[in-house]
Amino acid sequence: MVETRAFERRGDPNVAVLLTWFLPGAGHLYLGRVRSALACFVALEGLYLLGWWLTGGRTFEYLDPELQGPFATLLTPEAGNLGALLMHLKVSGFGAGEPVPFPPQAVLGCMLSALSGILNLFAACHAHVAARESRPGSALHPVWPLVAGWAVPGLGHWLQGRRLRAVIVFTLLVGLFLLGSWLAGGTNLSRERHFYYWSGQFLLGLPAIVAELVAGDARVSAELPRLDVGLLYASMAGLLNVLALLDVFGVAEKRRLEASRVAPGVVSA
Amino acid sequence: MRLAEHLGFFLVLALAIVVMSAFFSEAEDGPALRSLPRRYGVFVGACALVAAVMLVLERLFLTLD
Repeated sequence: MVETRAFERRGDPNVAVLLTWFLPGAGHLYLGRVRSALACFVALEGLYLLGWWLTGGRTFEYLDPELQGPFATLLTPEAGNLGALLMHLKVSGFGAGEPVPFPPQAVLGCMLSALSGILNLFAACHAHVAARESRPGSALHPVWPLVAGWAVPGLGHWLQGRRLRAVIVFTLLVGLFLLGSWLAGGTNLSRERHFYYWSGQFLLGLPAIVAELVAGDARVSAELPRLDVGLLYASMAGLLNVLALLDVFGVAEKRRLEASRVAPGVVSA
Repeated sequence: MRLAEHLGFFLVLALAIVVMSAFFSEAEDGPALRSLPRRYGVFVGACALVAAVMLVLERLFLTLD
């Protein structure tokens, strides 16, 4: 029988997650991991600030005036980096309401600030696991398959050796996204046109990002009778990827924590 | 759009939802894939029930004339 060491906590995992949500790196600092804390803070806040600078702080001016309110931005990827989002709203808000053209790099800027929010959620997952493992486990850290599964749907499963599931997830979700984009005439790829649907499909990772960079400024020259279906499909592809990510994280977390708890060389009868 | 087209789009999306929820619920591929027909039937049946209730309510309470 393999004996396991007593389960030692470095800190409360939920506190670490909440701190990270409000300020990237704060959860790691709470756990005594100073280098990780600094890396998270600099990278994620830097990403948000770069996005803010490129958009001129005007990301939330994309929202229709009737939707602009204190809770309107909570359904955006930026909400993953809550402190930066609140600062953004405090400083720039929803703009002056005057019809001024958006900066040329606004699309890239929006992506970077959204990316900061998503990556901070992964940092929070990292802090949650770090708080619970008594020592670094030998298995792959659960955050890496999670990041991979966000970037390319199914890649997280593939890295875990669950190849059939990986192929099915990729085919299903990317297929749904492409079908939706086709039905919507590519208009779903513009955050300015469809703010909330865009937030959903951003959860699909690189397929959505690359598609937007390549065909994000689609011209509409005819009626799109299946626009609603297209928007729904593309957004649902991103939302369903969250289910896939939860599946990946559950398995990876179990493997990591088991590897962390079993101490080598303490085998008893 | 015609009703058949609506139903077709719904059935495609329902398939994606059911497959992903099956994968979320079952860690192993075999049981997850075997449970798909039952899950699909339950999901589509439940959605049909909700749609029927909504149509009845609309007929009863939302008649404009």
